[in-house]
Amino acid sequence: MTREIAITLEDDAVPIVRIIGKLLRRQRNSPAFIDAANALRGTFTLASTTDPQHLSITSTPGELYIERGRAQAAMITLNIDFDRMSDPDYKPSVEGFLRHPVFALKVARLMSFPERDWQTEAHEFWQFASTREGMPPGITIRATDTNQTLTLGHAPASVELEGKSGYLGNLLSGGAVLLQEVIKGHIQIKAEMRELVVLTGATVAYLLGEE
Amino acid sequence: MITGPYKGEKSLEAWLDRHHVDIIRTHATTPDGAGVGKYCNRPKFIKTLPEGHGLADVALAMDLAGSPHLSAWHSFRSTVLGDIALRPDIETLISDGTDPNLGHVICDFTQIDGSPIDLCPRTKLKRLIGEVAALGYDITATFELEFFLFDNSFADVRRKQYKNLNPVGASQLETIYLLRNAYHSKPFMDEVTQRLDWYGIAWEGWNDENGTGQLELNLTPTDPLTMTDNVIRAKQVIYEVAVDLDMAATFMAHPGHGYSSGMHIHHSLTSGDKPVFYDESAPGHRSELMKQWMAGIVKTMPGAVSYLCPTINAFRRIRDFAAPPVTATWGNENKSAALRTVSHSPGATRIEHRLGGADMNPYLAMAVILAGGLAGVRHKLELEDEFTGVGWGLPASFPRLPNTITRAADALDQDPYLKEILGEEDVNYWAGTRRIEWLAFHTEGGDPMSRTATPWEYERYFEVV
Repeated sequence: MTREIAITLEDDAVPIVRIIGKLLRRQRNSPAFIDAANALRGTFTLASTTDPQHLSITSTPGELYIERGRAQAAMITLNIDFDRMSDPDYKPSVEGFLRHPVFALKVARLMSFPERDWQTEAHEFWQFASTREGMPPGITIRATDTNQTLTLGHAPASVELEGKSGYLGNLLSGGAVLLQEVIKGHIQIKAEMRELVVLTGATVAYLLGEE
Repeated sequence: MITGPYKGEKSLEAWLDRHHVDIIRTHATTPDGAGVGKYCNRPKFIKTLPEGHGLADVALAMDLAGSPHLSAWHSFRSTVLGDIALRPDIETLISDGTDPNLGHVICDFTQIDGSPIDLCPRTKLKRLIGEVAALGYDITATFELEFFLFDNSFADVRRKQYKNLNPVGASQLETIYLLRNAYHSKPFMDEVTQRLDWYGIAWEGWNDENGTGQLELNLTPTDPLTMTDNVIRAKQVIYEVAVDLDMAATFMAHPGHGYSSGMHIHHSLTSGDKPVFYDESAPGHRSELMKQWMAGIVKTMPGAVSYLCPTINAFRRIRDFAAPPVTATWGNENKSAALRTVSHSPGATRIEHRLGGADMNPYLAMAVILAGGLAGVRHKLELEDEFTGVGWGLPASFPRLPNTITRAADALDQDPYLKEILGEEDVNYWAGTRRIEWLAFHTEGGDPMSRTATPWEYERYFEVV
């Protein structure tokens, strides 16, 4: 049994492949994830319920290969609203469960990721983003539901971000794009236009798994 | 204020009086190739000269759907939602041939204080032309405009959701040069060429092209700034004539299932009146300068693809045996190579660049070609061997040009010459905007598995590029 799982993306991967690839790569050192990947053999599809963004994942010894589209070899299909994927209460519907119940349960195990606190996510995001061109030297983040505050980089920070812990965690883990979260009202920000644009670009790059 | 004589009249005001111009349309071209501007009344237009009227700075930083580029920053922008200006190039002011009180003027994007913005495609091209001139050379260029024409109004096209349209022509097959096809387009093209004549845009000919309902218009060679202004104006004329005649015309690169629309660019260099690409004594009559110039264009071609094929739809052209080249090659009289050279006589000697699509920004296309040429000369690049074969169906080991918008952006990221000459910030920004276009396609309903143009592409590109 291998203790390393390679997450391999198709060549010139489309966004949804990169996003899911990034989600899986974050888990690859987790023993639970490694066990789940080792237990799974076969192909499954994640199909968007809202647009043509579909992808398929094939598990072979030591590797998860991700490609666009609905693979013919898929044993089950998870129909997902990708915008709601990180909601704790959201459950996608599963086609093929009755034909392949064991496989479906193994997929569920593979695709269950433990939540981390927003502060941990924030530090990892800052490690990724702080050296990008144009990034502000510091950001202060406040969780409005717990009143916890964190400053990344230099204080006093020119940029202030706030929102509920869940939204902050989702954003800073690479699950969302900053400007979209601001437009939706999930996140509030005090920043100059340049800072907003640069930060939004950083969250896009993070979402897409850039390194 | 503009004072003094103007185009044979004693002043600009006198010229406006003689031509009965009371409204002036300003026209600038965004990096994505969209024409933007305002209709100004005469007092407003004159009052704002020479700087021109203002507009929001996002006009230079937005995509073809009007969404600001809010995940890529450029230093020309203010740190708040600020203004820039559309500075008229007053020498380009003309009167409209059909609207009796209207004039048009081509503009550059500038800062509010009038300082130039190199990201402005027309400004960038002017700078590159100047750099070629500093070497002692003038440039002559021409573009071939290909487009599809339909016997449907634009409203009808949208109602039909871009399906089952009526291409103009006798044959619904993919013939070329067919006079019976051209006859059906003649009333349309007569109106187009009449307006071009009125505007002083010299044209040489037009013909039935290979796609069903496709036409090609050839403009008379001239200096590259005038030529690219002419291309912008000709595309606008073609669109306006279509609207006026309840027809539809598109410069979308690949709107259908068959042939696509390119925009081949021919250019040559002279020193005074002397053609400098031609050397009677050289192999193929191609001078050392021509070889170095071409070497740079070939070397930078993978990165240049991003500018020459700027849209998602543009890459649907880049397939073997679909007519556009798929390799960074050159060949004398070889239309399957990316650069076709002609060198049988001094006056005819030129380079034809065959890669770009009808949807590209002509200013940026010309600029990236000149940048390649300059790179070749400055860095004394060696020209690869002539490609004498068929440029399609080649073995997998033969290097190919990038064939998706993301591969092209990646190639551009890796090109030091284009960054050096076009400007590193501008090149990085352009690559970033191509990735924004890619992301928009995938997150706004575009189908990555579709082998033909998707509704997303039609809605975004059909009328705008």
